[in-house]
Amino acid sequence: MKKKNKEASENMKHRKNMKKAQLEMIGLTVIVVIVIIAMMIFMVYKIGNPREDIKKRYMDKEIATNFLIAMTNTNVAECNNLTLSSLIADCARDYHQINCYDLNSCQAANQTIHTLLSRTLDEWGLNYNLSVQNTDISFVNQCKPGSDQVSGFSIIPRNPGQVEVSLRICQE
Amino acid sequence: MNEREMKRIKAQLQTTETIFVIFLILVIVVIGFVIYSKFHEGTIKEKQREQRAREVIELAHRMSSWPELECSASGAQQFVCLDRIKLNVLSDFINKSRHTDSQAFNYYYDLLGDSQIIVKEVYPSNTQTYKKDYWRLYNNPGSTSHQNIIWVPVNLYNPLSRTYAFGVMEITLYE
Repeated sequence: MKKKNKEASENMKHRKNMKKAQLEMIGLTVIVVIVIIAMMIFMVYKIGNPREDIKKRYMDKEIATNFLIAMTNTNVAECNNLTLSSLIADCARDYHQINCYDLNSCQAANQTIHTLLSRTLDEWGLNYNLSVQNTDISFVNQCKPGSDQVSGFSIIPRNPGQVEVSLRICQE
Repeated sequence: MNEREMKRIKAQLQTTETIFVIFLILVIVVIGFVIYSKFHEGTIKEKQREQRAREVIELAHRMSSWPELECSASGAQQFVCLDRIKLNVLSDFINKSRHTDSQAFNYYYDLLGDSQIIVKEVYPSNTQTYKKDYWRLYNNPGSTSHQNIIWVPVNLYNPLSRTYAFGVMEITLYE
């Protein structure tokens, strides 16, 4: 009887120990799972949020602004050295007054802007969208809608009012 | 097995367990340290990149309004405009001072460091002829092949014909 009781007590002790060990294993597994999840969250956050390239953004902004300023001041050799801003201002009028040999002001401005863009932004591999208000002058180079953009603006005085020229460089 | 033997085996087991735990902790600490070092290295590189970006921005900003080259009409300074005649004079001066290793080159080296500055006309002329529509103002490549190129669109003013051409200042920074 005594022997049987001792055996039963030892069995109970053994089972208790087993249960304790199982609980410890579960606890350890939970900790490992939590650590893995935390690491995954950290990695996803780090990969999903790439740092913004401040230099590129700033330089693209500078390019957009400087391009428009330099472009509007440029004298067009094919049009009696008139400035591009005067051609754009004339193009935005209902009746064009400037004629450059066989081209009107819109055609001359369009041709000059196309030359400037192809020798600069196209060559540098930048995607852009250039438009001149109140005219048909518009150049788009692979600028996807909804993409992050930096813009430069230039205002050309016109009698009456003004013409707005905008250049958006896409951050892709 | 007597009680003393049992105690000895238990003690041995506990010692082994302790050694194992310490070893495991050490492994975890080492792994943690390696991960931290990698992360810290990334942070340092990121800081270096930011510092470099700041230098590039500063240089580009400085160059677009360089007093030696600015064009002025009736005393008023013009934005993003370089004088062609001053371009010729300055490129000659810097190149000459580089060969003679004079104080003037040290002045420009302090200002521009390891970089190359080229100005070229894009419109109307685009022939890349030296001193006609292409000027290499400064060239000090340094010892590294890593480079950072910045383009600054500018006007090139001809004071003789009083006309403005479209040009680009190309700044190459060697890291």
